[in-house]
Amino acid sequence: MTFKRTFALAAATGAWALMSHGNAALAQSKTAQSPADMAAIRQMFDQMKQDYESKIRDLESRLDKAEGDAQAAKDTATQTKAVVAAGAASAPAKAAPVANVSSNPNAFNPSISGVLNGTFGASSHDPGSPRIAGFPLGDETSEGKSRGFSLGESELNFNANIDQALFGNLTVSMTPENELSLEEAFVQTTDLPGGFTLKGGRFFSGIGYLNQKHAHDWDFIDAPLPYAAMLDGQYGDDGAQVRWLAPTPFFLEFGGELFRGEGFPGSGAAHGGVGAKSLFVHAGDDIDESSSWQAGLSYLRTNAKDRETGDMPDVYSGPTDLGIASLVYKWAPGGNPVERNLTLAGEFFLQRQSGDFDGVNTDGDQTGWYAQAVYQFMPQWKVGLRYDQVNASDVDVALAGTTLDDMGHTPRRGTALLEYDTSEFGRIRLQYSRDASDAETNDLVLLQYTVIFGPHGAHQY
Amino acid sequence: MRTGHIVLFFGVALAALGTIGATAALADVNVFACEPEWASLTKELGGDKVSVYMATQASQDPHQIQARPSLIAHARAADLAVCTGAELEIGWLPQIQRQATNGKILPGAKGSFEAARYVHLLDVPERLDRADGDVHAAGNPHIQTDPRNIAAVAKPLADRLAELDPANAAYYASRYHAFDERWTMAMQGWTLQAASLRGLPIGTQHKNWTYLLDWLGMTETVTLEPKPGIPPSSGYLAQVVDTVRQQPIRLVIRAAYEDSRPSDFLKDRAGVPVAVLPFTVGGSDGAKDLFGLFDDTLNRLLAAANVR
Repeated sequence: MTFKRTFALAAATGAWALMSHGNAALAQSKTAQSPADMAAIRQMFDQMKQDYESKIRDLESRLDKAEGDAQAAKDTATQTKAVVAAGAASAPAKAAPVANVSSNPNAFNPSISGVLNGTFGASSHDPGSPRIAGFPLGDETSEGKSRGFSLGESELNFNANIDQALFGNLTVSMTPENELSLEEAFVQTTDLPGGFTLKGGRFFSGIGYLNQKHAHDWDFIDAPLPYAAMLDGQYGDDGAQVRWLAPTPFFLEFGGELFRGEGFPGSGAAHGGVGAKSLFVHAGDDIDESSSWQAGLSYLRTNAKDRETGDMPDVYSGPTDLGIASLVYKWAPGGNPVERNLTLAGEFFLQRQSGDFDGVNTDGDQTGWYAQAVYQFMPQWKVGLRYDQVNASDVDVALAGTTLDDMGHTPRRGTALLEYDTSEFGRIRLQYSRDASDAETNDLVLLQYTVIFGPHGAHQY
Repeated sequence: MRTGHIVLFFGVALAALGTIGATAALADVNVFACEPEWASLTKELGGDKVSVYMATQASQDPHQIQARPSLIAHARAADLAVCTGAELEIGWLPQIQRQATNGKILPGAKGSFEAARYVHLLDVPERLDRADGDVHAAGNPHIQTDPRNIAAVAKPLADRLAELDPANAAYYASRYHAFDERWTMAMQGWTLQAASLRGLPIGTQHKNWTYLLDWLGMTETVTLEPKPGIPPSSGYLAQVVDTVRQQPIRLVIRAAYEDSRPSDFLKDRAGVPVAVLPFTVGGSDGAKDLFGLFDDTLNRLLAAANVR
């Protein structure tokens, strides 16, 4: 009795429904009282499932064969699909996607990419430990640069959607000294309502324009002087970020961040909880079909607690307030950057420090700015020019002769760049700088290759 | 109590801003069309019930688009993104999706429509290696150059519009039927008109005409790029000129957005006529809509091949 009913039910529901909704069918047949009945039903289901699976496999192999054959492909495939569709008995009125379904568990692997780079450097003076007059430098910037061949940081990046709500990103970098460091490791929401995005973990702050780009995405080999002097290259730390994209017809985004506060120019704030915070707003739009712009205003407040810099350490304690104004303009004829395109970018930095430097009270403003132009004059070839400068604050007598004293020298630099791209994945750059960051002017030539292997990266503006 | 008021104030302010954003576009479905052909098709099917933002234009190479701020702003407001898929937009769309904070158009969502899923893709590579140039793992994504593909995409796109906007389902269905009828007629005309092109040996500048050639039965004997997406050197072009002298071709095709130099070189050295085809809607003065796109494409091919 129950057997018949179940059988009728199964037949009516159709083979496909049975396969995909087997559990539902089982649930409906709960009228089957005895375990023996249930076992029989299960056996029957398994049998039917196997039958249909083998039939589907058969159809799939026929489909594959058909697709392999160039000429007969279309007709046969359509026929086969019609058979599959009919057999499926789902009979949707909608056109079914042609895409084939693969059930490879590795298909869920994150996209993995690697970045390799290496440099050959020549200079009129040994660059040794770089100095920028009047500025104490963080570890990254003050690292000795050597002449000759050197390997840059090699990066490995993993990223993927974690589930329907989260996206994860992990970037590990390996220094030429074989030290591993975690550049970025963050989780980000993908579909919060109302235009909000939350991000948590270790990441580069959204302040400025260059800051959140990875170093290998910068237009020049090195960071502009204000980034080097005031942010030790770029500001990244452990924290949380919220962004809100306004529902406006042009791009308008607000963001705020809280950080542990360990990164330069902060330090030691880890024990105090939240050591750094930032606020930023970015806006942008098209001007016409060929040109577009993006502007930003950012504010970063860090707090240093016994921050040590330099070989004979200078110790600083106190807050640093930094404001950045950024402007970027891009042009490409007809909006098509493939043949020719131009990028103009400039940022202005204003920093205020009032704290205790080597036991002496200090209070002063530092400024810095850079302006750069990169022009692709034909496919694969680019030229670039950049000027950057920073101005230290005047120091009082007690701090004369210390790192904060620029000895009347204004650090500045002019840079020219020639770039050849083998493809969007490989690039060779030749860069010349006349570097007057310190009293002694240095002529610096760098030749660098950068390659990216792995999936296509989608680049930020 | 006071904090409650402040929270309420911000809530109201946010809601007001949201309403401004929502009412900015009066249409029922806001569409972010990745390429001009899909913008055009969506307008054909959606009529005045859709508001279409065209993210790229015919003068742009759809592989290489900068993730400009304006694209992010428009993607935020979209109910539906109509794109080619098959990795064509892989260099820019993921970035826009990530920044646009719009769950409606994320991959897999109802508001994410990929045309290539409804078409039988050609040129599926047998091996995947970047040494082979810019190959697309899923197959050649330039499906809009064959009108049969447009027909195959129209039905699921109309269905998707109806799914997102059920109130106007009948409207979309009737517009689809009207379009399908006109399109079928037009295709018959084009097929007749293009009969004399069948079997002609031709050259292409980039491998983005596979579907057009498949439809018209023309044979591609040379490509002006040594590998897909790699611009030719003058040495390579000289080789092509030699090849063409031994095995003549009737014409060489390039898209309006592509560099004119490689095909002009072939024209100067080997006397091969160049057909500059619109490639998509807006690529030429004649290609004002999808119908114009194929009218103009055939006229230009016939003129260059001189078989009228």
